[in-house]
Amino acid sequence: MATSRKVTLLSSDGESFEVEQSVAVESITIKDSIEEGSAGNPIPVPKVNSKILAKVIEYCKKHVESAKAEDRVDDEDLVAWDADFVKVDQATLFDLIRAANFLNIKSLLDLTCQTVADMIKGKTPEEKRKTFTIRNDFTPEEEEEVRRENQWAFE
Amino acid sequence: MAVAEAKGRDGPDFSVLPEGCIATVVSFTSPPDACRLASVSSIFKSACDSDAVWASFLPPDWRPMVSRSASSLKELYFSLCDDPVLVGDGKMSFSLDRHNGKKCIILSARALSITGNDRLIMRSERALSITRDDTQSYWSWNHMPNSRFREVAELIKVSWLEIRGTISSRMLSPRTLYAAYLVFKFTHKRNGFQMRAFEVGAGFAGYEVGKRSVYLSRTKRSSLWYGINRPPVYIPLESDEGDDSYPKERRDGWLEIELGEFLTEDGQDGEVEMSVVDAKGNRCLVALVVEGIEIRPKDGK
Repeated sequence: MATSRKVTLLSSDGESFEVEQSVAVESITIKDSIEEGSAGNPIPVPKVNSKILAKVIEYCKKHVESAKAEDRVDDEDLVAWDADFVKVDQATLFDLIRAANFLNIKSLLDLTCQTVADMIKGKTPEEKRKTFTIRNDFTPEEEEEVRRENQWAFE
Repeated sequence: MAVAEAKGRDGPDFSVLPEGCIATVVSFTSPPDACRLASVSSIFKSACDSDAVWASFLPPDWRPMVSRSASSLKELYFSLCDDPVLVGDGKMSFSLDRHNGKKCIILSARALSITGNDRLIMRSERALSITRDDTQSYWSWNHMPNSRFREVAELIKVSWLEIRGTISSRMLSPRTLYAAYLVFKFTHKRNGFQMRAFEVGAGFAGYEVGKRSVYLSRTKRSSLWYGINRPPVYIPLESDEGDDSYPKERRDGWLEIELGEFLTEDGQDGEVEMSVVDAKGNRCLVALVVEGIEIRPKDGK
């Protein structure tokens, strides 16, 4: 018997978010700490600031609601909603990945990682370094060695 | 150690992501991407070489099919690409397409049904089925050093021939466009196959399978005219000549001709039938060696 239980999440910068427990437990990390009884109230969410936590909660709410809907036609709408959800700047996208990883929300992690993957697929290493800021810590010799090991992929 | 700072747009540094997340990102790309990305930085190399990435590129059911060991899943993946596994009592060869991790199978000649007829055309329609136990010797089973199988089928002489094979789509990767190829060669240039048409096809049993007409010999009729009573002269094609109705040379020294293509889908399990049927002619056929039928993803990835 699902009662409308609410929990409060506290972002790293001190903002409180009240959410349904069913939404909060989309995060396995939060779910585990509630079940172990070790979650305080409010539940602190270190490493995730209010801007990102708000987006994560928005994602979880949408997915919990969609799962409840009897009408499976919502699948296509959900995919379109997800596509819009990740239309954010790179910094936010990376923050969402870290948050999804820390909070252990597999579907959000897969969605955000797939988005980044689509941006880097099929590009040469030089192009990839240009799209994102990536510090190349290889010496030219080291880089050449790695290329040689994986020669076939460059042909 | 020199550190080169790549100034991109005002984007965040990829190194804010834990290595596990980079590995998740890479697992959504492709094997060639993962190998190219490894040279971007040392964190990327570590992520790209990780088992998490290569587990996602291997077919989901690889474990029961493979008994070899490797020091990493990446090593296992490439071992399965470069070093096919013999299964089915040595009659089938299984490997992976390195670009996408899809399964490739070669059915050896022993796994096919090869039928021939030694009577001259228009005299007999009786087709004799050549099986392992057959004593009729239109074919001989020989070992060939360039073959991946214990034996290949070597044609001695027939006047008509037919080759058929089947495979269950469960042995292949789902959601993939596959093509089937007859893999063969000739031991003699004058083999009777010049300008001899064969009808070939590949597709699911019970469905309409598009057939097309091909040649097995890379020769064409010479335009030189030697006179009314002289037989036609055949000359070989150049290596860049000839469309899809002529065989192509493979890197392993054999020839191949495409039989047809088919799409495997989720949940649709069925028997795929592949066939090479002689359109009949008035010359005897000799000197053909059959390695098998290869089924692999169609080019274009």
